[in-house]
Amino acid sequence: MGAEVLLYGYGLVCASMLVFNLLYGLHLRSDDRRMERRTGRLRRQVEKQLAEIREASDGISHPIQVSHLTWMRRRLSRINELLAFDQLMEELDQESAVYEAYIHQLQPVFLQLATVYWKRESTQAAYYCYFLAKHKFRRHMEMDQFQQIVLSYLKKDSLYCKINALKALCSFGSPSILMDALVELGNGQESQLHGKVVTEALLSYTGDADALIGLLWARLDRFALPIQRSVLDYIRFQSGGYCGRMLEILKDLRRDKELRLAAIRYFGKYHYAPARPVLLDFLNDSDSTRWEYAAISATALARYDGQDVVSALLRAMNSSNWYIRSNAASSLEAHGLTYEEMLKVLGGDDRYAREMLTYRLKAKRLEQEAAEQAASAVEEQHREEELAGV
Amino acid sequence: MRDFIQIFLLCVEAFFILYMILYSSFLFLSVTVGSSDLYAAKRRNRLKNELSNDYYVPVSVLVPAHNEEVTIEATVRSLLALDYKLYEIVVVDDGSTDNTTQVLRDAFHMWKIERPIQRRIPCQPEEEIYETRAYKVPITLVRKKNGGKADALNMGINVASYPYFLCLDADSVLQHDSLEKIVRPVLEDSSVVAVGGTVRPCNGAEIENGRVVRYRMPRKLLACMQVLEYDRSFLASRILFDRFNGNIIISGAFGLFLKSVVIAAGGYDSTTMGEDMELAVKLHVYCRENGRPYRIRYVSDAVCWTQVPERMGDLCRQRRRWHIGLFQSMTKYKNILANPKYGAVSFISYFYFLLYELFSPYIEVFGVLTTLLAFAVDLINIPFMILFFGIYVVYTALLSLTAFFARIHTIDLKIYPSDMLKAVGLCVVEVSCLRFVMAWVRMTALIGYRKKKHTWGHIERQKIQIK
Repeated sequence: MGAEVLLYGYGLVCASMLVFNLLYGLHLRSDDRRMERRTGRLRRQVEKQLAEIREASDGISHPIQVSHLTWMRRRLSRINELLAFDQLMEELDQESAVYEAYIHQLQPVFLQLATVYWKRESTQAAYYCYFLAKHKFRRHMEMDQFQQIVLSYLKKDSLYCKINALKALCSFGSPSILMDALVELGNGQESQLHGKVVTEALLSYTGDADALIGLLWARLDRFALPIQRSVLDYIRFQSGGYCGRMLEILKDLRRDKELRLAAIRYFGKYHYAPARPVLLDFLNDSDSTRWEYAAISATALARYDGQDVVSALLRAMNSSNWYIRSNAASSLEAHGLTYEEMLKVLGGDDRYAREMLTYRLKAKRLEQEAAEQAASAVEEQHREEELAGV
Repeated sequence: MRDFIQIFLLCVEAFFILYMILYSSFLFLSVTVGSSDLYAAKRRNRLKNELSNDYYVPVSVLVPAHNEEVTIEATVRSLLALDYKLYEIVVVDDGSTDNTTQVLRDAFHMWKIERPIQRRIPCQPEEEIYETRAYKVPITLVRKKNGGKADALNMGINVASYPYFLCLDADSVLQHDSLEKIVRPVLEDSSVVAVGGTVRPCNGAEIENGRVVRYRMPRKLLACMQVLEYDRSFLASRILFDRFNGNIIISGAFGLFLKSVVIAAGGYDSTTMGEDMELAVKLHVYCRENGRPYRIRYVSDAVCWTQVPERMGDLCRQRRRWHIGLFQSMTKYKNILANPKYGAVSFISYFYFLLYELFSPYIEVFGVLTTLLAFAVDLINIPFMILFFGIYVVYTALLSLTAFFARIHTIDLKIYPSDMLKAVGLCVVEVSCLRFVMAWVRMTALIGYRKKKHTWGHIERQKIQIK
């Protein structure tokens, strides 16, 4: 009968879960209403303060009541109230001077909340960082005092908390604290994080990008390898003014392959004459273990004119590597070579090269036809609108 | 003789009590872990503990199709409505005898093109390739010689341009945000080599631009019972197995893979019928044998809606195929069993699939036969038998309902009271009747399976309700 008792026990827990499910379902149904009530309560308090600021003699210097600050600190310490406040802030006119004056005076509240949420479980801590990043408080207040606290959020074990904290730091626009954040981010298990995530976070940086890049270069070697790669990608998206430094990385044989490939991509985006012979060397290299350098160089060379480049790309069309042939065909197109010209030079003997070129040509035609179709559809729509007298 | 039978029955009783305790403990653990995980995920999403939409990993969506003229256009249109920027659609028509290719060509104005294919995984040769660039993402259609679903997927991998590919059944529809959600584990951890999503029956659901605008339980009772079954099985094992990187199955209807690793492991095995499970197990084996750090993940909020069979004959055929696939994968990788190198994959996942999936129909039918024997020799305690069966039915029905409601609430679907009643009533029928029918079907599945190992298995399709 022991098994029976065990099953009764399990069944009881399952029945409780079922009841929980049903109650949760009912709770969800009233969730929107509760959120509305919370937002309404906050709206009334905030609008009262905004009205007082608006009515003050000089427009913005009227101090908000201490009791309001206390009330806000108490309220916003609850995660659901912070969610409601987040919603309310979206409704307010964030460009107005009155709003700016109000938010500026709330700084002590946000500072206290940073400490409050740091002690909370990481899900709530992550939301607080999200809130800071979303509303870009840098426009309204000094963020120096926040930075060290938010940096400590990176030590929490939640990946989302770390990412949201990084985004919050990017929104503060101070480069030096970001260096510490990137070092911290590369130390733990989150170093497995996809490079795109860090690159995108850096792209949301609101401060002086050149100052940030200057520091990133200076401290590049302090970062973990995946972070270094994200940093190089960020620099590629951000600026073409760092060709010299990138070339050093490209030529440095001790550097990791991924970093050197990132450097090749940089020169595919920004033309830099001194990089040209290096790219050509990579493309002409027949060592199959280094095919990635050749394939990416084939793409990068689309931006580099000259008969030597075209000849190297045509030779690459005979490569045994599919990616090298494919990238070389795209670059030859970018150099303005017609299909017939390419085939003539290649002599039409290499079946693989011929197939690749034929495909590229047809794919290009398809793209042109699609563009023409889209243009004619827009034209037709305009004509119909004219006829309808819109 | 009677004494012998009595001893035999005592042994059987002891075995079944142990078997049921293990099974109910597993179900209990997985449903509680699964439910709490779903609620935690919902809370995380509400509190923005997620990677936002700005990150796009390029994905090739592969749709293997065989005689799918009824559903293929709707499937591709639903793919075009995905909230994702960087992807391509590759449909592989595996020698259809209907108008699958023609339907696609006409619907999407596709042009024939000579495209070189880098054949990194062997597969049957292509016959024609069509492309169009007139939509938000490129669409490629490859018509090839018939070789089975696995072979079609291998062709898709060869054609795919991007580093990750997602396989999707031609009778399935992706929810608008499912691609974005299935990619998230890859962004969170670059050692992730495969991600499985949740598959839900779409019979009864109305889908508009990839969004479920109206959800009803299917009209056909058989499909309703499958809804309960899908919810239980997706909640029951996958979330729990995900905790220890132990998922050894990624549904063929909806899974994301890192292309380079799949190619290195040899791609799909076209000689098996359960190519989805075979690939997932193969990835475990490949990564462990080569010392490659890896994760195989499951995401509960990436949802794919699929048609489930509404006729008993279709359902039996489908389950037969699944069971043969399971048998082939389990026997092909039998060295995993009790192999410390594979850790929890061996001692929990493989053991569970062996005992409670592969052998379960035999054990269940054996149990029924033993009961009949006990009844015949008057050695059965009928009140206890009824009580035991009753407890089993109520317990499993409770688990099914828990999984069903947890799933409904956490993906924000509204449910009608009549559907709720339907679920309550049918969960008992599903556990006490359908399960035994399916046990019989699965038990007999292996008879003559070698003859049908390359077939797609025909199931009557209906137009998916997409607006």
